[in-house]
Amino acid sequence: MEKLNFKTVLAALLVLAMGITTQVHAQAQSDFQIKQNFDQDHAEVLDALKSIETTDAADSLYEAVIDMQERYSDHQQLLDRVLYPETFDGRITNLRELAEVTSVRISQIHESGDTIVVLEERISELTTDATRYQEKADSLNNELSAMRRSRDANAAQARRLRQELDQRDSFIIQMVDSTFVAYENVDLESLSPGERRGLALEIDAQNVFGYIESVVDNNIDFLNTHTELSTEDFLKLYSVQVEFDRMWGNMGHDLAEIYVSETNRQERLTDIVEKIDQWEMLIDDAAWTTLADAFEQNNIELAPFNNSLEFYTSLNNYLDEAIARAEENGGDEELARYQNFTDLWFNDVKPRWQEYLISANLMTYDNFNTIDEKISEWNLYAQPTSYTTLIFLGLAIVIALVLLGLWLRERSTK
Amino acid sequence: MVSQKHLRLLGNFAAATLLVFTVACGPSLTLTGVDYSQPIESVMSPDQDGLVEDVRIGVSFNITPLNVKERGEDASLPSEVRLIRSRDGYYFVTAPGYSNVYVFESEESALELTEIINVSEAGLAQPAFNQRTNYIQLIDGDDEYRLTKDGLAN
Repeated sequence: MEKLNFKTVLAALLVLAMGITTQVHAQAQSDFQIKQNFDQDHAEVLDALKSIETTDAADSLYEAVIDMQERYSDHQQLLDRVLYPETFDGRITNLRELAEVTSVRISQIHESGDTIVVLEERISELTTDATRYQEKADSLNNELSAMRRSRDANAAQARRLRQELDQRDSFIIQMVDSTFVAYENVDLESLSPGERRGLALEIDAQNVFGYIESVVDNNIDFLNTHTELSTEDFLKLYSVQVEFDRMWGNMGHDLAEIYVSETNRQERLTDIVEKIDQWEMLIDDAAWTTLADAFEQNNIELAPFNNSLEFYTSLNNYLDEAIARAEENGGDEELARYQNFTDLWFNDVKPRWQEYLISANLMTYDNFNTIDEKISEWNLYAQPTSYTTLIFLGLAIVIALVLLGLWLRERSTK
Repeated sequence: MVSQKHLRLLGNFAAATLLVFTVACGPSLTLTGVDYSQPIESVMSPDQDGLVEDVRIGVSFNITPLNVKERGEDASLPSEVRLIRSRDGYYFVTAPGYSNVYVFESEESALELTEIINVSEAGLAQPAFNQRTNYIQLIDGDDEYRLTKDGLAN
């Protein structure tokens, strides 16, 4: 967009004012000339309204319209007749409203502009770190490729690489989230095509969209390569995927509107959505498999599950059956089962997995509370009868026998 | 006996009576107090043939005969022609360089000259008409004239 030429606007206003002054102070005036001057002044104000870019200029123009109204007010009757079907007041009111609307519009654009400046600064800050992370990610990807070829790759290496990638993924998501917050204050629709192109060019170098795609690509690549991670690692990856999906749902299309040219926008959007779906499918499969393995390795025979509902149902059924069994026939075997389950539950699930199960929307706090309550109930029935209880029971039997003996003896003496 | 002469007179009388009735029964209505005043003058540039036109008020005519009368044969056409119609319906026409203002009455497809008002021997420099309540104002620089269909007003 052409930059503000404030001097030109002021000059135009000056000429306008001078023109008005000249015609007003002339002794003999031609009505025709008055009408011509009015038309010319009107046209100049309209032209100025099209080109002004500051609220100050808009306000000055508004004042010029007021001045114009005052100067021509003596000729209102003439102008009403020659402007028919328009009127002098109608023309002036129209100019005033246009000046007011223009002032508001410029003000809004500048507010958007301020937000854009903040946004650009924020992106610029984040980009420095993003570049660093990108370089690190490239290096990690090389390591991953090497590991893929090597049979010596071990879980520890994979976990270390994963942790490094996690940092980068978190950063990218944070960066995009931050961008999203900034964009929320920008009415993209209010920007002209030129301004939008300018904004896109300004930030395109930082390739925000490219970073986003790389997060998806890296995760797919990683999941296709590594199955040796722990349950905790997979659950953590799941929560990253869910967070990413949320972020994409919030602003994926808006980002594409800015960063991707219209010609291949739809193709790229479709591509990234397909990749996100693939990522979700891979992590979903990996997470449930590793969870099932974890329970199986601890000799906890849950019914098969492939999604969060099945997992929760399977846990509930297992506990309901255990409670019923313990209530009916507790004992050392039941106690062992209880201990086995609670070891996994309180040593792994709650301290290490719960956070990710919840953040990945696989379970809720209520789900955990329900399971905890059932575990407590199971505990009550699974616990063997204590010695104290047995002593009290023995004493009660002895007392009962004594009382019975006394009663029988007394009866025989009667 | 009714003679041939009497019959002819009777026939003429009947014809005359019929004519009177016909005229009396025809459309006859006069709207008075018409205000023809043109709020603002027409400023028109003649084309190469001398035709001037103001599409806004819907009038066009050829200025050449008037220009010949003002300046003589072979005189160049003025750069612009100024015209205004007074409240009573007369057209006032002049142009830069003209010494006179010409007053016309509208006829069927014609403007008939009714008055020539001499305003400047040296010729008008930048004449302009203004519509005023009871007259047409002609201004030319600092000079101001009040015109009616009959000439300069006091």
